[in-house]
Amino acid sequence: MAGYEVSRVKRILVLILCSSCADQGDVAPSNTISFAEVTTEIAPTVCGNPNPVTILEVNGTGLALIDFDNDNDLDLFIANASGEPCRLYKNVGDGTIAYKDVSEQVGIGLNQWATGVTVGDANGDGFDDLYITCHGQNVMLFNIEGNSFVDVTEAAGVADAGWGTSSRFGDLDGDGDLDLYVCNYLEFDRDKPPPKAKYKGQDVLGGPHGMTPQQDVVYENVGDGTFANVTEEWGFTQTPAFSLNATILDFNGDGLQDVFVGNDSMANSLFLNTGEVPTRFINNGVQSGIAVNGDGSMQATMGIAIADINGNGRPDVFTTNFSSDTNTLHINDHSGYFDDRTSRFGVGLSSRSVLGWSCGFHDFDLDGDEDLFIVNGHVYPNASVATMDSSRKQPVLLYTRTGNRFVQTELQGEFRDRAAVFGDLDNDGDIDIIVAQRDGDVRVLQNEATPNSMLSIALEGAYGNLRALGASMTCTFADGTSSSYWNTDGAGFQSSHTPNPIVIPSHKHIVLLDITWPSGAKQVVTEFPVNGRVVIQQSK
Amino acid sequence: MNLSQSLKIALSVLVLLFGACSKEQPKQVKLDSGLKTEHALILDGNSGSARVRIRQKMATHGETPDALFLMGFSYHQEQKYGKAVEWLQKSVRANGRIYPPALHFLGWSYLYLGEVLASKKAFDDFLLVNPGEPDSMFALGLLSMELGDLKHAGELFAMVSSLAPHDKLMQAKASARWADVLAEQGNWLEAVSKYEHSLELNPDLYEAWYRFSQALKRIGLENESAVALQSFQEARHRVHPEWQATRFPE
Repeated sequence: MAGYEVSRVKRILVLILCSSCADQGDVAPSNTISFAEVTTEIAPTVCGNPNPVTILEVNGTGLALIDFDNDNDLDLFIANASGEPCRLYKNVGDGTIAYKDVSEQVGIGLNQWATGVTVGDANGDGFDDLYITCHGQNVMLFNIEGNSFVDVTEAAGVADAGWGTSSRFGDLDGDGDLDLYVCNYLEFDRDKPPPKAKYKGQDVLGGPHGMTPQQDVVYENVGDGTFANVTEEWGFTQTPAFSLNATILDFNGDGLQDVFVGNDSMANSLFLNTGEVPTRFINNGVQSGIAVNGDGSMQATMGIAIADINGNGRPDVFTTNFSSDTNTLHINDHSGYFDDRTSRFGVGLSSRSVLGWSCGFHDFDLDGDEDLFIVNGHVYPNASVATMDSSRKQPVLLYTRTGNRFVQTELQGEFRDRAAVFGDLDNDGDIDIIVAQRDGDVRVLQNEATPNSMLSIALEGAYGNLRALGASMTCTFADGTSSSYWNTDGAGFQSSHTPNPIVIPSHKHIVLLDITWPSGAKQVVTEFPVNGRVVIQQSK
Repeated sequence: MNLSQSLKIALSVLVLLFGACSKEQPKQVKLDSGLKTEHALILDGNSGSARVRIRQKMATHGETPDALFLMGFSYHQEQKYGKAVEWLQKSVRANGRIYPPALHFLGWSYLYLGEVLASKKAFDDFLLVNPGEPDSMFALGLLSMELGDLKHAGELFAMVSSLAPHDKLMQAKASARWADVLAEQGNWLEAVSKYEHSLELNPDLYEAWYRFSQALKRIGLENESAVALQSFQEARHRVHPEWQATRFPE
């Protein structure tokens, strides 16, 4: 990659002092965040020209963390475009981080213009499958007992041929299996790209403005390995939008799975599950306040991150947006409304100079609260501070949660990042990160936190959704505080990862765990070890 | 506003004035009458032509603080804040002399670039030479919100209202932001009242219409909220007819 040499191990994140951690428990928690970049055999992503000339090339390609062979470590799928096959790398680290390309061995030979990927057990056989969004027909790959992948797109009935960006699995109808939401972007003919446009007085590649948005598609899992297009039947038809990302979980606490959709330069949508039979959703985005930012302005949502920022048990929504705009943090209150509280938490103005993509709330420093990691990079190759107040290559933004604020730290390096996935790659208990640039290097960032004593809690759902995608958990601690978590695939831009266990530092003594499974069923757990790993199975 | 609030604000203004007098100031210059045409060109949206003329004048008369300011100001008006900062920085560092508005626009340019602390310093510096200037106080209120100090932000917005009693537009935007602070503090009733006041003064403040509609929902006035939302859409279209179904954050 031009201008950036990968060293064997490069410490890239500055240590952060977290002054307010002292009040968080009786044992001093870890208070630094540090990652080391690890050299691997992962090949760079491929997505058109090094300098994109059409809108098709600007979004880059996605990543997925999937334990395809059920050997309890996270393998890596990489989508590639422009004729380069997608890749599957098996985790061969055994406590370190190392990946081996097994694409040919397992039959991953796709060479469509792949854009994104999502992970889920679509056929309920206990092995995670892959749905790959493309410009052109999307692809469903069924995982055959961890040994190979078979293209079942046509047979499964999921051959949407729009410009797919992100997609998500979730149990939208509460019947125990995973349905599928597919974000579609816009009508684009590679032979007839739109004329150039102007941005801040500069000639830039055309789109999305003036182009025709495409309708998202929703598939119901019929249960026999096939899917039915229920977009209209379930109420997802609306004015088509430039959809880039989505996440599926219970946003309003009624025990039903809802869908939040992030759109480019248009209002976002929040499809609330009415619970009616037959299944029906209504778009509550404008009514709830999450469609736009606090100024009433539509934004260009790329990344989505979910966490309970204000501790009220409801999922708050962070979105990344275009440069010269801010990222946005919508706080979910108990009355069905979302308030833009970006400034209050300190994550607004600092994002004006960057164009954000994948992001994630994770407790990187294992101090019991969520930190925020955002990858950035401009869509226009001619972007610079002089021309657009924003450079083409941009730093990662890392914020540490410090009391009621997120405190930003300076990070080294500037990149053309798009995708990021979060997971414990070396099985040491902390969250590591894999980041992909648009048409460029893939960086593996090993978290150097030192997990001393902690409790890791994972969920195992019922048959059909063993990963319990969409489940929520509220932990109550001995000091009376509580924290809520959602078992999602992370909502990375065009990317996905198998749900991460929640990690409770030992200084926070959990006394009660209240689980709401994707079906709405409740389960309470009251006995826990002080540390170690616990898998909680959904009760029959 | 009650008596104690008024006294507090008056005291704050006195402190500001005293602070300004107690420090040695760089020599202030005024806009050279020979640059008035260029200033007018920028205000008329002809920044490119203005820059050609300013460069010619600087080649002849040297890089004076006011000419450098106009270079920065021309980019600021074009919303090219990176370039604006470059020239405004040159202006405020020119030969121990200062054209004070350069600091003010430097503050705004930094704010739009997301450089919170640099922005705050520029506004603080500007207030040293121009104490109590309402728009800079307003900007410091916004920065206080970003820094998480809602209480101070509210005080600053309140102060702006008292410092600009005859400037309706300034009063309107300060009142709207004061309402934002109240809303963030969960004081929806008072927020609604402040939004109403703001929008009476300036019905074109479309962002305030939007937040007003959200606040009305919180106090159970759904119908009124819907009307305010409609007003938001109308005001937004009135102010930015170029924003249709989609928008870039220009």
